[in-house]
Amino acid sequence: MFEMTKELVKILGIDLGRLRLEWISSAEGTRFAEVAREFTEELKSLGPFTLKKAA
Amino acid sequence: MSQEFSPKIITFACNWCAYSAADLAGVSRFQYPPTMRIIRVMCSGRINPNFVLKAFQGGADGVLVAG
Amino acid sequence: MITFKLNGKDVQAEEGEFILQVADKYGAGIPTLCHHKALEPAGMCRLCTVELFDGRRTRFVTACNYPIWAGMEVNTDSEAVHQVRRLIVELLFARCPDVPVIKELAAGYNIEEPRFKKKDDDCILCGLCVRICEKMGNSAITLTGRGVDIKVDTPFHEQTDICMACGACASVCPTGHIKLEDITKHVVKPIPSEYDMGLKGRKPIYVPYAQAIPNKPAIDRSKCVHFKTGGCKICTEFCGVNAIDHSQEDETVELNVGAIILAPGFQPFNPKQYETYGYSAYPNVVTSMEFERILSATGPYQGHLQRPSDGEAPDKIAWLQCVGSRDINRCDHSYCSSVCCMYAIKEAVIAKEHAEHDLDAAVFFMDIRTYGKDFERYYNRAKNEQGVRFIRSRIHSISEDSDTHDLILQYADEEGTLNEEVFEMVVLSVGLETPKALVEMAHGMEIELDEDAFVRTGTFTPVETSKKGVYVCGAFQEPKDIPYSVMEASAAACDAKAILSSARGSLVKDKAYPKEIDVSSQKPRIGVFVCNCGTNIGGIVDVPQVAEYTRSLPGVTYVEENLFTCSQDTQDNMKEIIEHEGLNRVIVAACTPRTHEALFQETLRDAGLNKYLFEMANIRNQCSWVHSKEKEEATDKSKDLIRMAVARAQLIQPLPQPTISVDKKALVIGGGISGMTSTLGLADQGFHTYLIEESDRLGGNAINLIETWRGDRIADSLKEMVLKTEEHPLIEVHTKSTIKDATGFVGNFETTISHEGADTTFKHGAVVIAVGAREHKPTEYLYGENDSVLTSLELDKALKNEDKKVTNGKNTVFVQCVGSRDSERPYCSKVCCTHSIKSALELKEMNPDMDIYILYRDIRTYGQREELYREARRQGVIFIRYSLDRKPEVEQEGSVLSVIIRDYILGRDIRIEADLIVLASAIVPRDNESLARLYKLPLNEDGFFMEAHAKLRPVEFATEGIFLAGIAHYPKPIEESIAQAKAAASRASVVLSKEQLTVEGAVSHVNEIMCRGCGKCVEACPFNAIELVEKEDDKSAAYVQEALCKGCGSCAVACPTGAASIFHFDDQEVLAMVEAALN
Repeated sequence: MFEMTKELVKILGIDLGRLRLEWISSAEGTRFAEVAREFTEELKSLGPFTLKKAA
Repeated sequence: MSQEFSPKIITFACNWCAYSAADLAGVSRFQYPPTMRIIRVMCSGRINPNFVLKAFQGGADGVLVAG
Repeated sequence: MITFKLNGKDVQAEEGEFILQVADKYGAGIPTLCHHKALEPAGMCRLCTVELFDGRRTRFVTACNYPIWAGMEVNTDSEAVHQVRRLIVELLFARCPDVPVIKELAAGYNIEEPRFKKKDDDCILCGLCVRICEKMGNSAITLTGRGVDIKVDTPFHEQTDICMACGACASVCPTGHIKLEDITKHVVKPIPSEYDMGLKGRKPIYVPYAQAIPNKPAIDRSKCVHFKTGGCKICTEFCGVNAIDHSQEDETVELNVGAIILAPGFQPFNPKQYETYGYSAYPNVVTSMEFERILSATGPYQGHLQRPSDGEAPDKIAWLQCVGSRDINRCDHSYCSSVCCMYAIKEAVIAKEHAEHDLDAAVFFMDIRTYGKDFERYYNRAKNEQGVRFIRSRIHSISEDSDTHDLILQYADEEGTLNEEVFEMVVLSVGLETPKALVEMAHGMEIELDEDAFVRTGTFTPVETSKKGVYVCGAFQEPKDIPYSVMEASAAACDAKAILSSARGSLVKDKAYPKEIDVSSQKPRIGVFVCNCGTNIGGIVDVPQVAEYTRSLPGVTYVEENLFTCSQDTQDNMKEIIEHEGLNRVIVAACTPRTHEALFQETLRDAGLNKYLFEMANIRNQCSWVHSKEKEEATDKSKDLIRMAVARAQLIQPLPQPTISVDKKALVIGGGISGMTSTLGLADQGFHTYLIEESDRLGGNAINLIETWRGDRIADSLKEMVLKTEEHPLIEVHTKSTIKDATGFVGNFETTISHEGADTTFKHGAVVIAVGAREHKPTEYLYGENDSVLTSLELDKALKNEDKKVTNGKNTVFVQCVGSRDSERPYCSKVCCTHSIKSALELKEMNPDMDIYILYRDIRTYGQREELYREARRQGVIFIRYSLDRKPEVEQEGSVLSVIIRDYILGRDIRIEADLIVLASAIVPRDNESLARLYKLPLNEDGFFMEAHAKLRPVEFATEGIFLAGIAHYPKPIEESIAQAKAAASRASVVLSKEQLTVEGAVSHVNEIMCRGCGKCVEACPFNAIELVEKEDDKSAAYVQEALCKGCGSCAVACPTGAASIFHFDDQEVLAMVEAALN
């Protein structure tokens, strides 16, 4: 299902870097915080998202 | 002072896995940027592509699906 | 309440409070150096000076010790205040020019050089240390001298006995004038955290570990100052809810019980006592338990792989197996600890995953014992794919390079050559042992222990102790891993339930709820309770602001703030408010629904609301705790989360929780030892049970076995078991019967059996699958071509008949792993090593002159079976190892049979003439496919049935109401089969003992009109909860069996027409939250 979502996101011209799938187990509090930090940094470098830009 | 861009992230988190991990991050006081808004679902298999598109349409800068 | 003006705004506070306290509460921070919340304010440093207008004139007062009064006006931030503070800072700066905190203050007021004469002191004479020392109950220090000579000191400048070096003075000293190192002659070390194996410190008041139950702090009386001096109790002043009670004493509670289950566990072997391991001397030698903590995300290094000596990431790690196990030379233990091979492999694999560079992981071992289900595959993967090195060896010594703290291992390999290799870290795979305290407890309870200090049990009574009514499970019985501990735990419960069956349910109290209010025609009236969680939330998030904002949200009719929303008085209050305000949706903005949803839902039910009319916003775990430096953002995020919750609350609907009846009968498939044990376990608890056996008699594989490894005669116990089964009034045995059809779900199964062409259908609430397995028929080593080549079971049969051909031979050769651990069957059959050694010993007893050879790959006599292995070697049984790429060969010349094998120690091939060759043949699953299909059960790659969870649910299937026991699950010896079978009976009785099962309301459902019967949802459902049902018009539609549905929602995603959806988490609800989040 995630693959399909990715496909759709791609078709719409949205940068795939804006969609992320992570497997985080219930014991991985550190991992969760890490993902939040990383993803935020990545999105900062991608800049704000607008649909216009995508189209 | 110029305001630094702070992205908006919608996170879909599985109740049993990532949502608990977020709870644990809290209990452990791990700090992370206040950019995420978590939506709890019972299983990451619940996440419909439509949800993700809706998030982008609504102006999210990123979507995290966390199982 | 007193009202006064603070910086121009009206504020309220209790009488007796000081300005500083109130200002803090209202976010007007006042600087101070000498204030401590738990101490009487002293106004010593004067830094907290504020401006006070009393109606007539303005003056300066110290905020920390000036009590508030009605009508006063206080300014904390005026120009005049800052002028005064600047002067105070300048004076302090002149006195202590090198103290960082003072320098910082000076910099804040742009003071580069003080106008006064500089001294080089570092004490500001605030007296905080003196006050805290007094608070500790000690008064070991005071301010001595007069005028300019005043200073903090001890009597006669000597440290007295009164000083306990508790360090309180050092910890509060604002300038660093007092240092803990100066107070104590000892090296200052934190209290070692038990959970982190001493790799990390903890406080005297602490939560033992993150998942502790109850998750509450405890006070370590042996460390807490209060229990030494009667003073301190500072914690009580910080605790917002008065939860700390130092007067609590240990209590002796007497319970009247009918059965006792012992599950006290083990302690890891302590290698400290033996110099050879270098554990005490070398920092980079750690135990496997310490290494577990090092790898853990919650561990001392947050999961980063680093070594203790210097915090560097190691590039080479060695694991040494059998530390404290399989060794009688150094007063360690003779038994095998059963779990270490597997955990060492796991640690090596995870370490390699964690390492940022390529990690060289090497395991030094004697035999690798990966005998559990899917363990061999894990071992193979570690070796072949992940590149873990496995070195068959004996360790000679460990020494350390004192410069680098690297470790030098000397070891002898299989050929006997001495080798040396340097590692950056060494992990000792320590064994399991019974702690002394448990030995004493067992003596006190008059429970018999064996020579290894484990509880003595019988093969056929694996969880019964020597004392009636007392049961044991887990590693206190014998070292064992999680799945078998879990099985035994349920088995012990099964035995206990059998003797207590007459008392079942007698202490249960039913709770009555008011009738549910029908809210279907009402508009949403949402009540929001915003929790401060003491200061956990309120200390960061601006709760009043959040509450104010919440009042503006659509549908919200009531908002209140609570100190603790979860407290009992708030529950009572909430119930009243729901009734009084006519609320029909409730939101609690507090912590996580994972721990608190059930509590609040209970309150809703008490107030007559359906429990699904509830929602939570997790503003603690997701806001205040994780954004504690960003108060504003945390407050904004809290508002967002509440707005999302309100958006969803508009849409949530009450849901019914239907109940289904339970047919209190069980059906067990398979009449071997496991099947009979499950059947008896259920019948002894009072449940009518059908036992279905394919053959014409009960007994299964055990019919062919002679003795267990402990020497019990199997035939006698088996006979007794069959008799008991056949005569039990609640058991119905059906032999020569097969399963023809099965339908239904938990509590309501229907199974049709076929007996000599006639069909019978039984209704029952639970099923146990115990169909067993069979011996592999070898296709090698001249099996089937020469009469002197037998399988293990055939040997047993021959021994039973005292066949002279078998007992009179001169040479007997056993070949291990025939059909096991190869590419076709990459699993270990678990029982064969023990079985062959046991048979070898029996042959030796019958014919002491016989030469016996056992050709093996790894000897896997796990646990106390190791004693048999030792005994066999003592009796001269010769063990020769072979590897898979050089298997033994069997040749026949005329009537002479011989085995050719490579001897690794001699380094050449040897030929053994054999009168008898015994093949330790694999245990292979039966053809389980049709049964699996009927009950919709999964099989693993090898064809064995697959349990719900390999570790935690080893006797249950993912499908509720169906259970698993015996070697249909995986090869295992009798005692383990019996434990698992009792466990299956125990788990099944949990279902059967209920009158009704309550079905979760948050399940999926299919709109029949929209469904086109494509079956996508059936495929997507991981719980087999959906099936296609034929409709009248020849079409079919999906139908959800609510009893099986777990509400995961996979079907709703898979459905192409939108017919499948899920209650309580439907698309609209989720989309509403998305929208609200971005609003």
